[in-house]
Amino acid sequence: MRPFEYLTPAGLEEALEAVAERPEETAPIAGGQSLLLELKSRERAPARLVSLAGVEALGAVSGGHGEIRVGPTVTYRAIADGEAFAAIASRSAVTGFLTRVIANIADRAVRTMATVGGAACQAEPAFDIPVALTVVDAGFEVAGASGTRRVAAHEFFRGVKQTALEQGELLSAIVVPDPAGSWRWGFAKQGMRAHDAALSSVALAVRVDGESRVECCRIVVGGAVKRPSRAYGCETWLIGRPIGEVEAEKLGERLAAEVVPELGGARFGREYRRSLLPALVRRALEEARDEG
Amino acid sequence: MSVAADRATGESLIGRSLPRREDLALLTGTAVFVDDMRPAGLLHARILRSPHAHARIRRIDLEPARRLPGVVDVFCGADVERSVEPWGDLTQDILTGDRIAFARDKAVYQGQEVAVAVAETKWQAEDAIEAIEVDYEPLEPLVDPEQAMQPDAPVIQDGVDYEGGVGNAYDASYRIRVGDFEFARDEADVVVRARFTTGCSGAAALEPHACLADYNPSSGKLTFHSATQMVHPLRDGLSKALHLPRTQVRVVAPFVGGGFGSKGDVFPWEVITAVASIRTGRPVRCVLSRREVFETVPGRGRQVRYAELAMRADGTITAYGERVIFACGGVSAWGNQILRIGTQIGMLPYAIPNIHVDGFAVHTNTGPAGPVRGFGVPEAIFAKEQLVDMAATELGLDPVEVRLRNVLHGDDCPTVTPLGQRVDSTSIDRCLERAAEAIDRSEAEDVGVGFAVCMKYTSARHPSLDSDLASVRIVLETDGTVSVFSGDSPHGQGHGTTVAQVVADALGVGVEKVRVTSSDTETCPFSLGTWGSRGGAILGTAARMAAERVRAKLIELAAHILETAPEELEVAEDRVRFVGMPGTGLFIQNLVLLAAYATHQLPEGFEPGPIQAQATYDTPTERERSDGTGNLSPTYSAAAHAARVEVDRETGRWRVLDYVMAHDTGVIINPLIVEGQHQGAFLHGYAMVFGEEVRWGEDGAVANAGFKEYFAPSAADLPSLHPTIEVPAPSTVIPGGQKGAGESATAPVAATIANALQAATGVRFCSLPIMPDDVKRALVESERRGAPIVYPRDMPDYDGPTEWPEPEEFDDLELID
Ligand SMILES: Cc1cc2nc3c(=O)[nH]c(=O)nc-3n(C[C@H](O)[C@H](O)[C@H](O)COP(=O)(O)OP(=O)(O)OC[C@H]3O[C@@H](n4cnc5c(N)ncnc54)[C@H](O)[C@@H]3O)c2cc1C
Repeated sequence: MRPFEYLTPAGLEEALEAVAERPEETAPIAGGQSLLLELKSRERAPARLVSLAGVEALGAVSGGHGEIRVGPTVTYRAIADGEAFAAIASRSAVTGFLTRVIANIADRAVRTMATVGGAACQAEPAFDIPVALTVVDAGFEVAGASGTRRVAAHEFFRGVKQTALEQGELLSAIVVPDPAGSWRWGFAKQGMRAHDAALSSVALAVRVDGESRVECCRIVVGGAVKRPSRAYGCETWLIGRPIGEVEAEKLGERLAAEVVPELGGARFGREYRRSLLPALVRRALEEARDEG
Repeated sequence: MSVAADRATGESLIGRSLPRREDLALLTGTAVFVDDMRPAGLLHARILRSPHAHARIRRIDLEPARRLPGVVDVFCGADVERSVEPWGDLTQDILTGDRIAFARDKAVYQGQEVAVAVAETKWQAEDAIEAIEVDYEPLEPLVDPEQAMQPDAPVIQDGVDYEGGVGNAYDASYRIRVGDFEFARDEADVVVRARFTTGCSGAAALEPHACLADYNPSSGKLTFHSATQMVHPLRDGLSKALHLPRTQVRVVAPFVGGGFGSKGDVFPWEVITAVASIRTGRPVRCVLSRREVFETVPGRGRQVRYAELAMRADGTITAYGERVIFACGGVSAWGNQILRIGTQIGMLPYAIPNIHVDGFAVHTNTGPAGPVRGFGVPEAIFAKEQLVDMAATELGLDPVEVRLRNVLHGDDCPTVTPLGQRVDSTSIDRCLERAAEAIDRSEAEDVGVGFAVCMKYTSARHPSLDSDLASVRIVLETDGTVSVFSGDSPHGQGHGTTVAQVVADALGVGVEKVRVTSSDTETCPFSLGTWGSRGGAILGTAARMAAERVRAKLIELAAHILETAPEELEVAEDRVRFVGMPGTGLFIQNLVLLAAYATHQLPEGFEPGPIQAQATYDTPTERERSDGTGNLSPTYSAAAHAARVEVDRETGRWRVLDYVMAHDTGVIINPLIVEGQHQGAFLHGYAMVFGEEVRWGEDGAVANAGFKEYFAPSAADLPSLHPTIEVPAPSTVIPGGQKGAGESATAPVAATIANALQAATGVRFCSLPIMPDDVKRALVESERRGAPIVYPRDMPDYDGPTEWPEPEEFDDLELID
């Protein structure tokens, strides 16, 4: 680590000013669960840290008009404990889905500190949040000196630790669609240990029609790829099939054939990560079916 | 039951699960570790380490660092050449000359010490080492020990002469020769063999290594706090390296956050920190980062074993042969000791009549190898217990039956094995029966059950160290309380509780009256330290001996005052009383007061002053003989484990459904503490299979120097354990009957799980750890070949006594078609 100045703005504007003032040497800090590791190893050494913890506007959750707005500094704990979404009357089961995903991330100590926005901005392929937010088709509100813009998930996540954020900008809200109709979601991951991030992960969202046929779907792969990646071929294959009769094995074979793993770790190679996909997509599909 | 009630009944304190006295401080966060100490004027040291695994050091420029703010001192090997000498030769026959403070001309592993900066803050010290300029000439790194043994391999420690060394095999002389191995093998009905490798579990104690040196320039005395497992050997090593008289060096260990063997040495950073304090005249602290711990602190070391086992058709093991190669890293540290003791003890619990072992401790350009829980025994058991299963399978015998035929039997004890191990008592036969009864052996798809047995030494007379002792001093205070100065250096074992139980029991006082001080060379008598499962048995015996000496004095004094014969008296209820008569006699407190304040009342010849005694227990063990035989341990604990394991063919993950441990730990002083030791020891064995392994790339750089990629299992990754089945066979050598408790549950775990995996999948896993991608690859390859394989490498047919054929490598596999 290196010595740094620690700023604690109380409002969004103040925070934006602080971040924009000397952007190259300033970093926002949310829960610190990723940033502190980089500071400790001196991989990064910003002279100023701007804590977002005290900015009330960034920690709010609200719902209505078919969407749920999640403040970036909402912690995993607040979601896992049911606190964050308690007052939201969501018309779909999307809050339940996000809660299931988030309650399974890391361990209690990490969940107490880590935030949804922090994980999104960190944009590591192994993390669950980018994959989950992509499969629910979230939008990302980015605030900067010139105002606020909205970015879709597939534009927000650009690569390993790369997002659409420019220097001096802050993620100010995550907008999760709360769609009408019968959407169901499933997520499955495989890490080495219980608290490890994923070697491979698969998220799945399907909408079925009155005859339980897949009308519309998204399949997103994480872990082995540089950014959350849609498996369009499998999605097309799934359309029109009755959800209860989808042959999971076939879907798995297709997914493993479609996805080209880009990332191997120091220990687990690409081939192994790819070989996990059939089991993961089957588990995700089962979850989506069970939720229906 | 309260302690007071027991004092009245006089019931023994041995075998009682008293809660650990250490826990209050630990649970309330008031325990002080080295990093919590705040002496005035404290400086911080950061060490510059070699980024290369093997490199000549052409030039070091410290000047840019010296100019930085807050920097008080910067130095490297050239600056301390004359004031610091290499260490490691305190003991006999240990290979020395390569334990040095700083790499001088050549760095031999990544992370080796090159220079140090001392500054007012940690960050300034860190800035300073970043500013040091070093000109390295990288050399070819030797990472693979078998390659390092090739005749044309460059010699890593080219400036040091090792007796009995050949090239990088600095100890090439380890041999076990028992019986007629070749004859027995030729006569056998089945011979099985395989090449086994075990990975280097690292030093993964929660507290990283840390020390704080405080040199007082006016008195010339160095007070040295360290997270160490052995204060006296460290004091002696430091004094020798620094040319200081031992009166001028005091080593203290405050609370230590685990060690598991890895804190039992004299380390370069300890010597460097001491020098820094002497040079600056101020207290200096050095705390290693996690990265530094993984790179430079000795881990288990990698072992390669070409092993074979011969069996008669009735299941009798007739011969065992091994060629063992131990990758010891760049310096010799403890490596060859682990090879020797681990291999020898690893032959138990069988009395194998014909044994042929060739062992080689080999330098590689990797971090040094040292003791980690089990001291080589788990590695030996991993190979041998799998070969037992392989032979049993070929003969169509049941793995439990075959082991029951071969293990030592309690009824035959004491017995001496052909290897010279005198086993005083054992219940390993009963343990195995109990474990087999307790595990569910029913068949299910992708589920297998495996067994393994082991014995573990209870302390040992090391080949390098002709001593196996511990010492305790006891002083009775004038209020009847008891001060115990215990020589060993506990770091989680609960000596403060266990030793108090032993002393209170022998003195007939309440355990709350006894206070145990450990880990301070100024107050505690010389001992070898805490390692090798020695606390309960060796230290416990010294405590009992010292307490009995004090007791004899009390009884002599009381007999005089009460005008009775000593035989009429006993200690109980804080008194010396008439045998079997509660409430009679004299309080111990009054006797101690007499000796201090009313000396005319003492009997003739009774030494006035504090009533005290010191005792040392040195075990009745032998030195290792040149054929590898000898009784290195006074007594042997034993374990039989059984695992029921399920394999997920899709992901290659395995899961322990059920795990049974049956143990012989002799007489147990504190069952609660021993159960904790067994569970912790199991975790260490499990970790070896699960994923713990320091991995060096071809360039000799550590690929996973942090807990993110060093896969230490967490609580959530462990199976839930049954309470251990204890089948006590009290030691007949150790006076109180105790046996070692700290490591017996580590040794059989890897073999047990590997045997269960084989039963579940047909694949014989010969390499540790066994990770999901390994399992997946092995299953895919088995399917491709249409027959179960040996993983990771198949051993072709073998037909020579010492020549091993080159194993065949698999191609990279497509894991799904
Ligand atoms: C032991 C451990 C295990 C873990 N296991 C998992 C796992 O299984 N799955 C998983 O998905 N994740 C896992 N994680 C990672 C965890 O999800 C992330 O570390 C965490 O979510 C990051 O959130 P944070 O609030 O702590 O971010 P911080 O560390 O505070 O910030 C991360 C980055 O985002 C930037 N940033 C933060 N907020 C904003 C903002 N509003 N606008 C712009 N930039 C911002 C920061 O400057 C920094 O660069 C694990 C972490 C640990 C330590």
